[in-house]
Amino acid sequence: MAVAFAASIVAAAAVVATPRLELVLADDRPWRLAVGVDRLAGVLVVLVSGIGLVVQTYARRALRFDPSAPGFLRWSLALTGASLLVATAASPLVMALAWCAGGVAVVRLVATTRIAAGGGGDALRRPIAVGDAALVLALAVLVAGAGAVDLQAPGEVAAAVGGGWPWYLAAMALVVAVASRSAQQPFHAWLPATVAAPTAVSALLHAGVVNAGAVLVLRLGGMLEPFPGAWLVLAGLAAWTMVTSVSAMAVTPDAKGVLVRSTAAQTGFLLLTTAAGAPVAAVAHLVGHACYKAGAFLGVGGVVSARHRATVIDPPRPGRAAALGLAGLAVAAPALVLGASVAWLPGYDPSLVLVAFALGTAAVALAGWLRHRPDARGVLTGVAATAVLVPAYVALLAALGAYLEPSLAGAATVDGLGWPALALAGVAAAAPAVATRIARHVPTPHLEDAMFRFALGAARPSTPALVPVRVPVRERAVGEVRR
Amino acid sequence: MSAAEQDLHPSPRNPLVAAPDQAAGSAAPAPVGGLPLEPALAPDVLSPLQAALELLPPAPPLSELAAVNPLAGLDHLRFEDAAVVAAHVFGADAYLPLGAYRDAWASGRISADDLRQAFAHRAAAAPGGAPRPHDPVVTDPRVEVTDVLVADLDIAPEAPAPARQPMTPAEWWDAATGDAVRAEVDRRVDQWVGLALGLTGARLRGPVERHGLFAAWCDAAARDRSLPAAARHRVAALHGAPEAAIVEALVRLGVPDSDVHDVVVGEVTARPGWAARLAWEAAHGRYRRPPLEALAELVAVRLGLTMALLPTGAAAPGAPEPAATAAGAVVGPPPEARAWAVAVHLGVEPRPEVLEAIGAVLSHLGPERRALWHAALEAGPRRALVDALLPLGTRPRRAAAVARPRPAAQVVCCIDVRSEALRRHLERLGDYETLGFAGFFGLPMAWRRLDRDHAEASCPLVVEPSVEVSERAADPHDAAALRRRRHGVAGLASATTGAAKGAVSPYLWAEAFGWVAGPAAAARTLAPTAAARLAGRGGRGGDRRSGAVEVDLDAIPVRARAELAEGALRTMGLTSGFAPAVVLCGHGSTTTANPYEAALRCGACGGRDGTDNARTMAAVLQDPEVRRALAERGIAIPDDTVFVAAGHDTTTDRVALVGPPPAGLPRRSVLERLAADLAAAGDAVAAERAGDLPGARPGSARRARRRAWDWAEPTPEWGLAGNLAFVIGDRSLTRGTALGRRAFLHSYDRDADHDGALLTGILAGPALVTQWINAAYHFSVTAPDVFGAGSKALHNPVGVAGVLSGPDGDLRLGLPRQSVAAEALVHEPLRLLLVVDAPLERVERALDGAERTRDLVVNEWVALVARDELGRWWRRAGDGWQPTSPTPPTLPTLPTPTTPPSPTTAPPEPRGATHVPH
Repeated sequence: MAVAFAASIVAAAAVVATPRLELVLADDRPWRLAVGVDRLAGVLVVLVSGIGLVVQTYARRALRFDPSAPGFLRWSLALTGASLLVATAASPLVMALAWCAGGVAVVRLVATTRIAAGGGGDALRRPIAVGDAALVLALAVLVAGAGAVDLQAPGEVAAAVGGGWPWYLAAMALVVAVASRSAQQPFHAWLPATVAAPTAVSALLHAGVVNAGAVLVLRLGGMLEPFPGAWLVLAGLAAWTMVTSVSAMAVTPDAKGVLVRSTAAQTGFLLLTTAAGAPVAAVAHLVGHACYKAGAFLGVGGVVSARHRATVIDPPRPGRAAALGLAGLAVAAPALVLGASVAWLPGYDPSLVLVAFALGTAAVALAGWLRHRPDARGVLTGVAATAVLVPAYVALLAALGAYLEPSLAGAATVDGLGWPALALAGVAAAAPAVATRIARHVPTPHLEDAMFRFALGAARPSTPALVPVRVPVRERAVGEVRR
Repeated sequence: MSAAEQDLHPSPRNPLVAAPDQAAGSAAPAPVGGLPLEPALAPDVLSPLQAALELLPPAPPLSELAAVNPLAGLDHLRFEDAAVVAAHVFGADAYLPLGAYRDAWASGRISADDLRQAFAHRAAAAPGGAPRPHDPVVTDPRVEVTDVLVADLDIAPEAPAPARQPMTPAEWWDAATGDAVRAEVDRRVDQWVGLALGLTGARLRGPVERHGLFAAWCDAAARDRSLPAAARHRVAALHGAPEAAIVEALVRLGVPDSDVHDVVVGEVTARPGWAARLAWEAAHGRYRRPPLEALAELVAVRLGLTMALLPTGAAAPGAPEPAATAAGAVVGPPPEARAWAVAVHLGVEPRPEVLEAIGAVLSHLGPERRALWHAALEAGPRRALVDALLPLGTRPRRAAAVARPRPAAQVVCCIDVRSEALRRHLERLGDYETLGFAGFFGLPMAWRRLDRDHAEASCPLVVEPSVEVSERAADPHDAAALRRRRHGVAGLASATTGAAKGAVSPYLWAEAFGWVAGPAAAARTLAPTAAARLAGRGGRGGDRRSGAVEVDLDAIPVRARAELAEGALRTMGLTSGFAPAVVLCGHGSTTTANPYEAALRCGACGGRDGTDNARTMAAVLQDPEVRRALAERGIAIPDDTVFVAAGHDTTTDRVALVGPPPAGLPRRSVLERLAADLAAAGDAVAAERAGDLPGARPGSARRARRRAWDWAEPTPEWGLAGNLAFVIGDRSLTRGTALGRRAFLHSYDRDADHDGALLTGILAGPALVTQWINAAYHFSVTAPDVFGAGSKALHNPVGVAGVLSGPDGDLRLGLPRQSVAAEALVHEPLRLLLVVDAPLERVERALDGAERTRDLVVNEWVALVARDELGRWWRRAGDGWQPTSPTPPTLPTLPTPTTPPSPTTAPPEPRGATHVPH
């Protein structure tokens, strides 16, 4: 695994020089087997192999003497390999094979642990199988219509797509494949089922599996371009997932369950970002979130020590005017800094709603700091931190954009969908939290009860309830006793 | 302990419980199902609930995790009987599988002597005569008792693993029809109990908070689309008090009155983890209400859901017959057949007298042969331990040592088994005297850290804190700066949590923070020690260690301080002969991403770091007013004696003095030398332990220490695994002996405690705590699915309440597999041996004063040995005492005393002594 990581670093570096490296194994169209490393693939392989390396090292200790250890080793290597292939696939056949192999590896990884009640089962296999079949269908249409298209050449997929119902079918199938692998509604049940596997497996899944849907959109988005309806369906599913997952998080007691549902929501946000035509932001989110979640899973046992070590003191109570002033500062400072950095840093053109998200995040963080340190030094430290961190992040995004530009130049978008998509994201993101706050502060017990029921329904996996109505037992009268 | 003593107080929602001043039956009962139900006809659900509450183990949350005996509710029964009940109700085994005992015999782990000793002990307790272990059973051909027992073990049929008997309507239905109704009920109800417990992540629990578990569930289930319409209608018919709902559900299901007790107990014990946590939280935590009421709600929800899912009257059929070989109902072959089979296996002709003799031997075995074999398994290590103890008179005891020159320092450690190694290595390095005392140093206190606004109890689970101690800045000018720094830390935490859990912020927060979190996770996995040092966690407790923060005793009046100090010193036996420095060494543990970290810390402090108690007691004893008060009470502490606190981190084995050097210390070099020796002793302990840890290299203290910072390491240290005995006696009993970190050591001076009050205190308190620890490890090994927590790799923490294995299931009780096993089992489930260095009559009197411990001894949950005036060890058996080893006939009838016998007096006859006739 370390070798793979080193190789991926080398590949990513090499690709800085030449925008694309390709390896063709068999050029018998339409059964073309080609893998290639372009800028986007360079980033992805570093991510996948890096997380794979960390997780394998972790598992070597965490699964010591565990009977599932050999199975984990085998299938985690298979999964990492499949994810690497998905990232570097340059022909539809390779993409299809790698995708299905990844699905198989996920199912086998979870099956290495047999827990009595749970352990995957249908909840795990069905959505993955459906997604695999859908992708094979979509790629089959593509190959049948346009031969073995080069997936990494910018714009080539979009050029190959025609009109008519087969292409529409392919577009919808692609949406199904993306939604299923990204654990979006209605295929969201498989991700909570993976919690039955060891922690290392959950961490590994975030390297390449959950992101694979977004990678698919970035590569094959051209198939969706002529069909705004498909984009809308994708965006709608993603937004709906955001709402239900965040609601479900609020009634999920276990830590891994919360992380898994948060992943579903984050992936929904990711898909909305790609639907909105902001591919650089999408890639940044993909990488950042993958690292975040992998680290969160590996350290999930630290919940107890975090509580134990936490500093718990009441925040100081400044006067009303001071509190308002601080709140205003918490919003104004990041706004100014963000505006300035976006305006002055060259080559970065973010969509406005993404900027709004960034502003919200920075404002909340700064407000949290100022709550405890409303004194002069605290304010200075907070504003200084904002003034340093926000432009740094914007610069990072700009650099990433510049690096990825040759690969993403032809990334598919639908005109006019940018704004609505991200506005939808904003609403979907805010809705559960805002509703919770309303329910808590405005005395509307029915609203809170209704939300509670909604959240419970969202949290329950969609396996049907087992009700033995088919067993023919005569209904006995109450009180009759038969021994 | 569970709040079994909680009163049932009448609440407005509880019409079945009459107020105490109301005549029973005068309160109008709530109509059930439209029919007015007279109290006399309503099945009693409260006494089964009470019984179930007592059956449940105490289940503190992970943040206060201290080992508890999972069968604490059954320790009034004999161990074997409790094993039967546990198998029936929980499906939990109390012994190892048969194959383990066969392997132990084959490999020599169990020797013939062990078997004879176990048999003698068992036979002595039985009424009537018993075959003597050394006499042959059959003379021609010669067949010994051991041969009979081994043959019986060889031919024993493989019993299936103990499984819970079907006790609830859902289980009956599943057994009869092969459905999975119970799993469905479990799955749905678990989520509700999780909400009731008010756990992290579950922020939307308003309805449960407002209305209670049962009412909220009724309301939600009546509108739950995932239930069929008929089920929803049935749920809608339930309302009112949980007890009334239970009755209604029982009636609708057609459960006959005779089964009501089993059904209610069965519903509670179906998910013992969740139920036990609910009972605990109801008594001590956030879901505050009488525990019986909480359990009633739980049973009401479970039975209500069962009633909704099953057709009416579905529970009326009789329970399926339990399998003949189900555990608990260990019905073996009839005795004659068994004796016959043994005779045949031995190759002896099954003549009537042979069968009778063999049957006499087997009758002492009973149907559960593993009980005797387990005793034989325990016999070997116990004998080895007792033999390793130094005989009477080898070294002068403490009281006699007063005339000696003062030791360089006295170090008081916790009774924890890990302190045994530290004490051993320390004594080798210099003229140090070590003592063992419960790690909370006699302080029932609630501790408030400087960076916290509330106090946490820092004493054993069975003790209520009575004083509150807090920290403050040593230099008042620093207080503001310290406060600001704490606010800074809290501000950073508030910023990150606020961003991670806000409305729109989590998305970009995860993305932005991920660029930092990713490399951090990589560093923590690939180079844990370096990452920890970089994060500033390498040197923990900087402020406390350097003395910038000190203990604030102002809340305790001087008289209370003096009382606490006196109590501690007297129990320690440290009332005279003080060394220039007395170190109070508390212990804690450092681990990363370990939900069970509190189990590795000091159990005597309720799962916290004992260093805080040590600092407090040191501050108390340094107080001049306290010293004056102590002098008035007869304890004269010399002016040049200083009390300092130290902390022993048992994962890294770093031992260091805590706090600034006390003022006015004439010889500073004493403390410096002491600090150096403590650190060296810690290094020696780490090197000694390194060989035992899986994946570490023997002798490499560095690799052993790395585990504290490694978040992937499931076994950072072995903790209390392997604990075997609790030795109550002077250090002269154990000094220099390598006990392999298997013994708890408590200082006790047999010459200073004539009325036995100190011994009673030790037997009532620390002995009980150590038995709980021993039982927790025992059942984690023998019943890993019920009372053990499974593999850590699957652990899914539920707030700080507990862990699940996987996405759902029962909250796990007990210890994870990696705490008791590596590739093979590391902790042998041997019941605790209490070794008391005190005359037998005094031990009897002390046991009378410590009733619970007495019950444990009589019922064979622990074994007790004591030493008489001549230095012979006697074991408590039945109503009296037995010599610890059955003497073979070739030895003389009177054992040779090891000390010069007193010239005129004969050795006193122990009361009720049972002499095995020679």
